[in-house]
Amino acid sequence: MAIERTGGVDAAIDGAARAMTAAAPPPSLRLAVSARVAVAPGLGLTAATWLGAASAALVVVVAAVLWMSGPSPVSTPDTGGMPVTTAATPAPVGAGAVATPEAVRAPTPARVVRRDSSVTQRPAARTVPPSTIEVTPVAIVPLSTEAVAVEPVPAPEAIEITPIAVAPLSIGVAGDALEE
Amino acid sequence: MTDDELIRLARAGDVGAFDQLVVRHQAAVFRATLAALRDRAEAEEAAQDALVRAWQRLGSFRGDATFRTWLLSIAWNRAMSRRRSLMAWFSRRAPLADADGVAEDRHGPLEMLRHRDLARHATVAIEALSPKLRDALLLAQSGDYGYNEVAAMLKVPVGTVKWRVSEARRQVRQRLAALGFVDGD
Repeated sequence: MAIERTGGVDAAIDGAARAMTAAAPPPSLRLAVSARVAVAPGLGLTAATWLGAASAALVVVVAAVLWMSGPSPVSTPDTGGMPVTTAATPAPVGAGAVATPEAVRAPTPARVVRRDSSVTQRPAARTVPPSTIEVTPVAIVPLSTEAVAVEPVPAPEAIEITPIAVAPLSIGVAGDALEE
Repeated sequence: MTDDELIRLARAGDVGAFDQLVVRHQAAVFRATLAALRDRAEAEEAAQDALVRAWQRLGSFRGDATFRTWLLSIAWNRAMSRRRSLMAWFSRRAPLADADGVAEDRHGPLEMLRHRDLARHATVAIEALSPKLRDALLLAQSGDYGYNEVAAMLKVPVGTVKWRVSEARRQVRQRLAALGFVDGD
């Protein structure tokens, strides 16, 4: 070390500082390290430990996702965007799936389903007990192919446009103007 | 057998080779953790953690620094982590070494008393330093580490270490002077 000792006080400081760290390692240190190293043999166990922890975390995440999502939604026949009217109680807020006979016969607990905003919103289904189902058939009016009478629109009167006389631009420089 | 040879064997899974490395460097590791934690039990646990971590991370040792420097850096980091987690480590620290041991036997009874008093006050003054200054002073004065190793442990330039040691000594001298201890006493 390049630290100088210049006198009694400095020597005391050096001695005190050295005494504060002058301690032999306890014999138990080596034994404890050997025991821990034997239990944790290097990178192999570390990698295995990490792998195990990651696997456990993955299982927890998957279980949480499955628990949050519940059973997969039942696919419904296309109703052409027309609401299915049922005489029933209103659907819970957030229920977006259209009620189907299967769903009506076997009602599932109310659940908030997150939907893609790009998907066209459909009217909320109404779930009722099976004994009170009353489905009203939907009447679809066929398209009419008859010609539509259109009144002729009078054409506007012709507008007379007078051309505007535009003087040609003159290009010159300041010097030319001065000379003239 | 050199450290490099032992490291090569230890990397291959030779626990005995790593034990030889522990035997060689455990004292330096323990003193470093002791300087940081000021408590033997805490220092021993930190040294254990450091050595086990070194074993687990032996594959990442690239040899940019010496194995000893690399090991001391791990030890210091473990000690710092433990020190941060000890909310009241200042209040729990126990006196490590009997400052009376600094006195030398060649002095007479009166001189020994004066030396004991000076050493005791020097210890108290060192304890009162800021952690940065105290760490630098204790590591530098321990006699175990060069400035380069201290700089690697503290993650500061060598010049910063030297300044901290000098400043620490100046502050301790100042405190001792206020108590009447000046050179020439």
